[in-house]
Order: sequence, then C-alpha cells, then structure tokens
Amino acid sequence: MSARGDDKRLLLRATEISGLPVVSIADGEAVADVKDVVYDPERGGLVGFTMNKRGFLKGPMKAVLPISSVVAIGRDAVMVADTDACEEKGSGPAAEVSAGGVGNVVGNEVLTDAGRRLGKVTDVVVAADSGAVLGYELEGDEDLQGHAGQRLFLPIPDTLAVSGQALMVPATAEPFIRDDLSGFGAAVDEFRAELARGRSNRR
Amino acid sequence: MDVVTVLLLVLGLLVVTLAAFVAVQRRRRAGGVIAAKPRRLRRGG
Repeated sequence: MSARGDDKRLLLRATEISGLPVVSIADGEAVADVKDVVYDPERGGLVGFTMNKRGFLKGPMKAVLPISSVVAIGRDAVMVADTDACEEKGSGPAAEVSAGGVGNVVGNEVLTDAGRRLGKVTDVVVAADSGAVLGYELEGDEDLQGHAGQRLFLPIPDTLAVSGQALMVPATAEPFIRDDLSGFGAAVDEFRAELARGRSNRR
Repeated sequence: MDVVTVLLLVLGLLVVTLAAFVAVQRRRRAGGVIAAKPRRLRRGG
C-alpha cells in the first residue's frame, strides 16, 4: 500500500519497489525486475538496485542499476532512459551498489539513543520523487505507545549510522511516530526541522 | 512392482523435484532492503 501525504509526495515502502519491472523509456521494454533496494543511511537516500532477469526461471543479473541512472520511481515501474542504464558491477556508481552492505535491515531492532527499544523494522519508507529515505516501518514493541505488534512509521534523520543488528535513532523521534503512511511525510519534515533547530540552538 | 507403481513413483519424484526447484528459485529471486556499508569500511573493507 502506498500513500500520498498532505504534501503530495508519493511515499513507497522499499519492499513495494522490490519486484517492480525496470522499464526503458526509449523503447518501452522491460529490461529487468528490481531485486534488492540498496540505500545509504549516511546520505539518507537510495544508492540503487540489484536486479533479477525477467521471467521466473531466470536468476539475478550481474549488472546493477545506480540511482543516478533512474529517471523515475513509480507505483508500478522503475523508469530508466534506455537499456544501457544498467551498469556492470564494479564500474562507477555501480560499485557502491554492488559493494554489498551491512545486510537486510528488515527484521533488525530499532533502539533510541536513550536506550529504548522501539520495535523491529518491517520496511523502509522512501520518497519516490527524490529517492530520499524518510523512515522505517516498525512492528511496535510491547509497551510503545500502547501499539503492541502494530505497524508504526518512525521518521529518521537525513543522516544515520547503521551497523550490525541494531538501528539507532534519536529519542526525539518518538513523538513523531505515526500509525498511518498518509501524513507521514509531514511528520518527517517536522521531526527534521526540530532536529535542525536543536542543532542550531546548541551552537 | 507393476508399471503403475513405477509411474506413480516417477511422478512423485518429479513433483518433489519441481517443488524444490520452485523453492530455490523463489529464494534466489527474493529481494531485500540493504543498507550500504559505512563509507569508512568501503575501501579494503
């Protein structure tokens, strides 16, 4: 399920992008299917995609799709300019996508910097227009806002350290948790604005 | 063993092989959400 918030941004879950066809605008041909969605928590945005060949009997492709080659991410397809958009691993921006990562973040625990466990990541929320990573979808922890086991949306800062099995977020994010994707974009903006105000006040 | 038993055995084996293939293929094609390595670990990491 995707949603448009009040600010008209199309927000997608990363797992919704996984499996979408990669379509060339030049000839309308589907060149591959998205396999993994790779994002950079330090930069707060998507890095690119790994891909599967089209057809159930076929396996993963060697080439990857860097975000710089993506023209648009839509509800039903990832659009590229032409069939040459996919790059071999190890070349240019593709190296960043194919370098691997700290692993699949789905299932990882989320902890605040105050030491409170918020829940387990079930998805990552992405702004389709910019490729910015806005937050995590969580399965809420037992005593979190009385939403035990419910799906919650947690905004994250635009830069974030991720390593190992736990994802760290500021404790100030907790009041901005939403239980619906509509309006989540606005909550992320408010949270980031408050973070920026906090930073400027400390200076 | 009569012919019917042999045929049933072969058919059963085919079904099991097909199910195993589909399971492996699903796993191969399954996607995830990957956090890229921190920059300090990317070189020589």
